[in-house]
Amino acid sequence: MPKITFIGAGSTVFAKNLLGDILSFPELAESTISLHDIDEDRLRTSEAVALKVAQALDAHPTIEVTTDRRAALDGADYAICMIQVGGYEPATVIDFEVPKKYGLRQTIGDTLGIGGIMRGLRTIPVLLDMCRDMEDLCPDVTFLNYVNPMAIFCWAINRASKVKTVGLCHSVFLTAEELARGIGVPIEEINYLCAGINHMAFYLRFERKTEDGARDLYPRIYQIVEEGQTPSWNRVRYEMLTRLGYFVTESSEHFAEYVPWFIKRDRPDLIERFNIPLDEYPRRCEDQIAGWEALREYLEDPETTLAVERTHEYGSYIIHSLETGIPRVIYGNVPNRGLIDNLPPDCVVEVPCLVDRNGVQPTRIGTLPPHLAALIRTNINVQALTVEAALTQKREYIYHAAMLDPHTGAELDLDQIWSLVDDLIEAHGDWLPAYE
Amino acid sequence: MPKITLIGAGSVVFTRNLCSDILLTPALQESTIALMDIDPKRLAWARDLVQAIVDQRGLKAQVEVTTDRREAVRDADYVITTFQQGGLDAYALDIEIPQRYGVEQCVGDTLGPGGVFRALRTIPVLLDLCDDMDGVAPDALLINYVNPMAANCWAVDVDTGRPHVGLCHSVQGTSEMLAKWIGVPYEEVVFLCAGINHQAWFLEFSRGKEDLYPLIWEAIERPEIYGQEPVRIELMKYFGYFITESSGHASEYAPYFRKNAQMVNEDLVPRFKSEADHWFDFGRTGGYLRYCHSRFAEAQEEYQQLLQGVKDLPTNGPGASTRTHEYGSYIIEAMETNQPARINGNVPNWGLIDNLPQGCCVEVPCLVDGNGIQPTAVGVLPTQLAALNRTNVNVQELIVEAALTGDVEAVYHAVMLDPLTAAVCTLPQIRAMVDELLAAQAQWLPQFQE
Repeated sequence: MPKITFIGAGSTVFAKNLLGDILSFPELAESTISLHDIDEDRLRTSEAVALKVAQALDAHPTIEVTTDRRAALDGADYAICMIQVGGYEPATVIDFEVPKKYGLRQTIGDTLGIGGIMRGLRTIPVLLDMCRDMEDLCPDVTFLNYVNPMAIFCWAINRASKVKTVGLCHSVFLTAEELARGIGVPIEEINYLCAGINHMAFYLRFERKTEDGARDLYPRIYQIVEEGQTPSWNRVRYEMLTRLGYFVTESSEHFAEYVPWFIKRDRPDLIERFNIPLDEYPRRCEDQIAGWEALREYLEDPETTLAVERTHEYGSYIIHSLETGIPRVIYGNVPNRGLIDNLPPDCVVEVPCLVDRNGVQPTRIGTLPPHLAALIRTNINVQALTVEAALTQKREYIYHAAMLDPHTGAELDLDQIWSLVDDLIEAHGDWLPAYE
Repeated sequence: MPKITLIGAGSVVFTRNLCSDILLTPALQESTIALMDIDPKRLAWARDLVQAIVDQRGLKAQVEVTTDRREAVRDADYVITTFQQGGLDAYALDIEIPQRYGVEQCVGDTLGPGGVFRALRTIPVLLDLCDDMDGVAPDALLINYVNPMAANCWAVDVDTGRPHVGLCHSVQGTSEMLAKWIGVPYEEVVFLCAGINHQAWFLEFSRGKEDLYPLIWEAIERPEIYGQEPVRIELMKYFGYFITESSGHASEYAPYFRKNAQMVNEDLVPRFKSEADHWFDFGRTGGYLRYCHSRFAEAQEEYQQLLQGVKDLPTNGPGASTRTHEYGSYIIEAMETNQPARINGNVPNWGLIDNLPQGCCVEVPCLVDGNGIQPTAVGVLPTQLAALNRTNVNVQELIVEAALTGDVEAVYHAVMLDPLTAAVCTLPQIRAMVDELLAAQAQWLPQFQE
């Protein structure tokens, strides 16, 4: 059975879910699970949780726990990355508070925008170090990356390392399930095709198989808007549906900051009309921190048994398909080598991939509708420049990345953008390598 | 339940196998199967066979027959082609005329003057069929089994752009053979195969992390193995990889093996030591044509045997539920149930193999599910493999141009670029040979008539 390494295993809840998924498969139930984190306390909690998950499933994995990353990766067949560099404090607070001084407001700040750029810059060096370890200790490993900003990280890794990498996110299947619930059609009866980039992929097809052939379900989705049933927390995406003709994968609070049209300093009416939760991510972090001690006590309590329910995260399916050869389809973030014609070569696209013993094999999409490709390219511009900055360590590319960010460019002038970047680099201190 | 139409259903062995596969697939057991052929006698045989399978297994599937192609296609979800345009009369001309010019073809259905003319006869019929489909079954998937695969599919793509996939069993058959040679259970083998139809390459052949190519290199040294596949083994020795189509075929896609009758008979044929190679007469010129003639003569008898075979099949237990390795039923099942399947299919090369021309027809791994045939991108082939493929793609491209424009110059060009022909003929000889072929086959070549 394979050795599966969790890097950042102190992300206890996510690790618990993935582990439950993995150990639910009989073919994986005796895997070696190596849990790694730099935080010993969190790691200890995760270990306790892992043992409980195994017990609940009557699985018998070998569980190893270590703060030594090289030991964790040594001989791994799969490495799953779920780290966060810089944490809520200081990093996330910097990402939100410094731009706020310039009047630049964000919602999530983990994908694009000035927050996404900075998160990218402080994380890439850690990921590349990790890749060096893998090239050294487990060169054939399959690296499953769950860390955001997804596209930026996968792109940097693809450029700088030979480690087989796929980026995974749950937005494609969760949004599909959400849409299915919204229109009252069982997800099992729905066939969809989705493609684009992570967090900005579009459902090109959303249909139900019937005796009379496939029936397009988009009219049903439009009906939600027409009948005024748009959920209050999801107004941005339905607005974009009516403007673009396609539904997007990542949530309204995310999408609002990937484009220049929703968050504008002199338009508080838009924030209200589209119900945009500014500073949503820091708020979630604070809630999580506040609830952590109670959750931890619950998780570690020897008296409680954990309920383990399978999630639809792709991680365990990929490992299972690679080990057993059972073919599955997952949406993966992979280099655009001939997959989407009207997006740049080598950028990281999110497309359906066939997974079996041959590995993760992306399928070709062809050409996206031109307006979708155009919108996506505005985001790829920022990704390309952030990767360039991280790999060359040239400061000018950080400015360029911020200048090309659609939301930042709409809110600030060029002097402000440069000054903001300078402030952010300074506030990061040692969390960033030296930039020329 | 889908409607599945077979065009050229009089190919009774193939029809029997494919329909048996379909009818063994739980999700397809209530399908409507429409059989079409222009030959009423063979069509009746095909119907008897398929109906016997339905009856013997007590299924609810409907079997329809017609000689009217448009009716057969109406409202179909899948249209499967297995016809042969011009039959054995035309095929005999494909072999005999070039032979007089020194072109010694063994099979002659893929490349070479035979492949060129088979394509020129077939493409107009395929395009007519696509017109029918556009009219009465616009969303149907065309599943083409007719050779020459690459030229036919390429023409369909350029002319119609409709959903299609070309299927062949050479990938399955060859991988099974290789696994047997090295004594590894087939279920444990993982391979990556890509290139063009009949000339795709096993780029990887492994078991888990173990590369199995060293075992193949050992196996091909054994005389009993060499005697089965001398040409493919020679190609592997010099190109480094094993190829998908049999030695009889492979010998005529490259200029090295059939430079004249003496070389064929004295050097090539004696290398074949296995009875399994009888169907192409151990590499002799016209070998497969003779096999087809003998099969044709015995067709009545063969049909009776097949029919009895169906009736004797057990309804349960061993032998009752084995699907063949043909991809056809797996594709339809995956599209109907949305359960993913992996096949090697022939599809247009848009970004799939970087060092083969864009738009040419390549054979690559494809995902199949409710979204249809979704090719995976292979990347770059080893340079020498792509180069050999490109010598074949040259001919295919010119065939497509000739077939779609009716430009007779493109026919000459196609044959001029054929590696085997070019190895033995001068340019004036090629022109004379093509003229002779055009005249002899005029009845099947409407696009070149003034």
